[in-house]
Amino acid sequence: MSGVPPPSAPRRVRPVATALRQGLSRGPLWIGGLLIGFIGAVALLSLVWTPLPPGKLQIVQKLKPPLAQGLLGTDHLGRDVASMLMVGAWNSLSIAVLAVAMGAFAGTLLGVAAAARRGWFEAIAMRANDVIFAVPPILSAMMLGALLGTGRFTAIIAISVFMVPVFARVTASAARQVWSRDYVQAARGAGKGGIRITIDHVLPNIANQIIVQATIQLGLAILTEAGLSFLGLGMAPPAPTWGRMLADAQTYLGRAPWLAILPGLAIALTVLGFNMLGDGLRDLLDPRERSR
Amino acid sequence: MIETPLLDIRDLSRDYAGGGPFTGRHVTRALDAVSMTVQRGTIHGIVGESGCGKSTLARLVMALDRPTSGRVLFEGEDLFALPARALKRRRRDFQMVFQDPFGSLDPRQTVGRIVAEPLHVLDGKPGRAECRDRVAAMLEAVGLSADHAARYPHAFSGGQRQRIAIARALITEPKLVVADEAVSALDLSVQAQVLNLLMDLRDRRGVTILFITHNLAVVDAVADRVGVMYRGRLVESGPAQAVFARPLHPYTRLLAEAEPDVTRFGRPDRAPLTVSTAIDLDVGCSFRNRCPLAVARCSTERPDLRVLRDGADMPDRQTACHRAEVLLETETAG
Amino acid sequence: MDEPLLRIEDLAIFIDGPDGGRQAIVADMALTLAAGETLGIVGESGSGKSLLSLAVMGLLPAAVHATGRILLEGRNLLAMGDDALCSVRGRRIGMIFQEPLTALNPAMTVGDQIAEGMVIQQGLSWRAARQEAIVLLDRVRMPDAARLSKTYPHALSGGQRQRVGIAIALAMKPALMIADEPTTALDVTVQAEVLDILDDLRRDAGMALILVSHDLGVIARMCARTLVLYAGRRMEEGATRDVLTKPLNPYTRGLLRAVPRRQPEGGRLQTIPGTVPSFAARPAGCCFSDRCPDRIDACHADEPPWTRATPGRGVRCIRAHGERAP
Repeated sequence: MSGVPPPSAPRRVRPVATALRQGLSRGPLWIGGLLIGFIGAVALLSLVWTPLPPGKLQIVQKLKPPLAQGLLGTDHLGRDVASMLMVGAWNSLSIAVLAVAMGAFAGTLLGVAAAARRGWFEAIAMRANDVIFAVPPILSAMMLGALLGTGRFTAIIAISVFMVPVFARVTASAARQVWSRDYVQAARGAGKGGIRITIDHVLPNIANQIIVQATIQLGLAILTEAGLSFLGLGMAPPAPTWGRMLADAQTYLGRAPWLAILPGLAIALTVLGFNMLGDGLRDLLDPRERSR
Repeated sequence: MIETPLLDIRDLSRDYAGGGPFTGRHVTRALDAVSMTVQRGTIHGIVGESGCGKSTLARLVMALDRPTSGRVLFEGEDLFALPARALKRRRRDFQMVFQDPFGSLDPRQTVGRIVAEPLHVLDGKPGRAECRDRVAAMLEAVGLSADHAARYPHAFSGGQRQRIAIARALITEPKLVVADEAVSALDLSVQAQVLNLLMDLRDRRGVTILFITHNLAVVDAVADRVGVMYRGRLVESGPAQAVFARPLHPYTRLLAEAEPDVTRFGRPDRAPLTVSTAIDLDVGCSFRNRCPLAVARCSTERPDLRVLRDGADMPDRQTACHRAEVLLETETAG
Repeated sequence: MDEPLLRIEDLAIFIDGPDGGRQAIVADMALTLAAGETLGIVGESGSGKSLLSLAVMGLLPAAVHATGRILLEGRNLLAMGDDALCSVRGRRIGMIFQEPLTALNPAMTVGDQIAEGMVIQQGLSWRAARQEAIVLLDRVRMPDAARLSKTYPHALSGGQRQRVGIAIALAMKPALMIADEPTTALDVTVQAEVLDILDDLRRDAGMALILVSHDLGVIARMCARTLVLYAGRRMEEGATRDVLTKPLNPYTRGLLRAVPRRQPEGGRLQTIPGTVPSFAARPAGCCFSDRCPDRIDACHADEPPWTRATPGRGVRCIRAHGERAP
């Protein structure tokens, strides 16, 4: 997509200091990428293989610490924690990715439309955003849950609704900047309308910002999903999720702290991974924007 | 028989509403009843300082904005009376070149796509191969090579980018190109190349160019006719050579004297006048507070563009100054 | 012999490349400037003229390094620590920027911005400094100085902002004023006023002035001496009138011919073919050898040395002396 030509300068031996500096500046990208890559791989693996079926109850083996029974121990019903975490990764990631994708799609649509139309349309769209933004996702999940019943679908909708204004704002302000550029004036002068200009000029020029924003919002979506299932508003009980694992672990905090620590760690690492990846992507994509 | 001018601008005005919630609303008149005609196959210069309305004029001629009042007749056809679809079809006949060679090309598109952009709007949209051929021919016509089409804008220097912008403006073979400060951002050694290119396009392709700039020397070098603008009004017009050789408006003279010149060393003797007092712009001549010739009449009666009474040796020249005859005498005496 | 106000010797400025290498943007730079003298530095984009003035100010960006010596009143600025440099920058050298709006703080009244330096550097009270600021605004011919000193930069016109910029630089009573394209963003009539103000102040205060510009006409109007830069090299130096009427270097000649002026019978303007090379893509040998109409084979071989034609007149061109008679 991007057409940066190879640097015209002759390549020279890279001094250690510069290599180190570049390595450091790319650090977040690598660490974030590795974390998310690992968690994503585990989530995919859970679809075909887990050490034990995650729902298999072995009451006699309950509350065994890590390595005593299975890799990461067992919970109060004797289920294998490692297997539950793996399936939980899939559940969390799939919900987060779908929710962010839907939110990003709707928000971007709204944002570029607002930037293209301006005037009253922009004013109404952006005020509507503010209203949606003011409703916490937990609340909308409760309302949706009452309406549709709890489950994967409800969680996705609740989180994506919350994402819409975030993306709408980011895209609207980025798109407005593109609209003020002379190349858009040239396109108008050539007779192109708002939709054509949005597709040909606006979207390609704000794609980077949307990608970076989506990555960072994935972290937030993971957190929100965990919060929803912690409160019992997420996926229905037999399916393991990180949030409910945390909720179940509360009762046994004194006896089996790993039950809380392990899913907590999984959530923390995933959020951290997405944030670092987002920051790294921003650094990677932005300087090229600026050096024209 | 008098030929219809390519561009006929009649009493064109554009107001902008300004002011915030605390300062109260007020209206700024960016363009004030400007009338002029542009003949086919000429380079028509518009010169003036920032805020004189020259960019507003460009946007209106390009139909990128609507006037508050007045008309823009393109080959006798009122652009703002056309239905949207007809206007879109008409756009192939007038294209624009912008000032900033870095902001006017989409950094995410190849040069080929950029140059071909206006073609996509044509009714009988040419096919892919024909598009490619026309882009290649056009790139060569502006002094680039056909294989530049595959590259992205950042691989080019400012002067080359401006050539790309000119190629885009010419791809539909328009009758009029509006060039708004098209060479102002370029280095001196490159600026002359682009100016020559514009003159070649006029001579070889018969393109009419509305050349808008703040730089007198540049207009003098390329323009056939020139209009001088001040605070939204046209204050002088005529053949470029005559206007700069013998200004008939004190503002044109002030501009010419202020223009730095490589053959004038040290400070000029005449100290330039500074803006003295704020004046009521709704009445009288808007230049009177900077004008060395201003008299009482200038603050009560607005001067309109007129032909000088004893201007027999100055055909085709107009000035909006009550005191132009005095200027003519001092000029001849000095 | 007296030490000149400013002496630059063997200055080279490097930038860290994206691949870790270092590339010289400016090389073999040298100049001297006596107290009260005016020097014009002419160059197109990529000539290194702005980097040169930033180097003198000690304001080079982090990825850029300078070697050589920049001596101000005998003290090497390149060997100085940040604190010492800061006080030199404030007290001895003043700088005026191209776009005054970005050089001014939007959240501070212009009077306070002028006063700030005097409070910090000269230990004046704010009250006294604000009074002094009004005097300075008056000296840069700002109408209604007392009222305007209490306004914010956004309320001023471009010409007024540049006057504020000059007043800020002037407040420190510098011995050297560096103006980097000070009037490029201004209209011609305003430009003439600002240039006159600068010229008057320079005369009254006995300041030396370095005026960096791409506009030969501005240099002709303001400066006694001129230094022509191209692609980070000195091409020619001398009295402004000599350089602009009897140029020795083909680049200066080309530049002068390219100045737009009406040609007889619709003739075309003279041009310099090609474009200014980026610093990473300079031709071998002389940096102008790819565009020069007078080039010979030897021009592509080695970078020509800086030679002195007559006292006060220098040129970098192996063809300069043979070409002098037109």
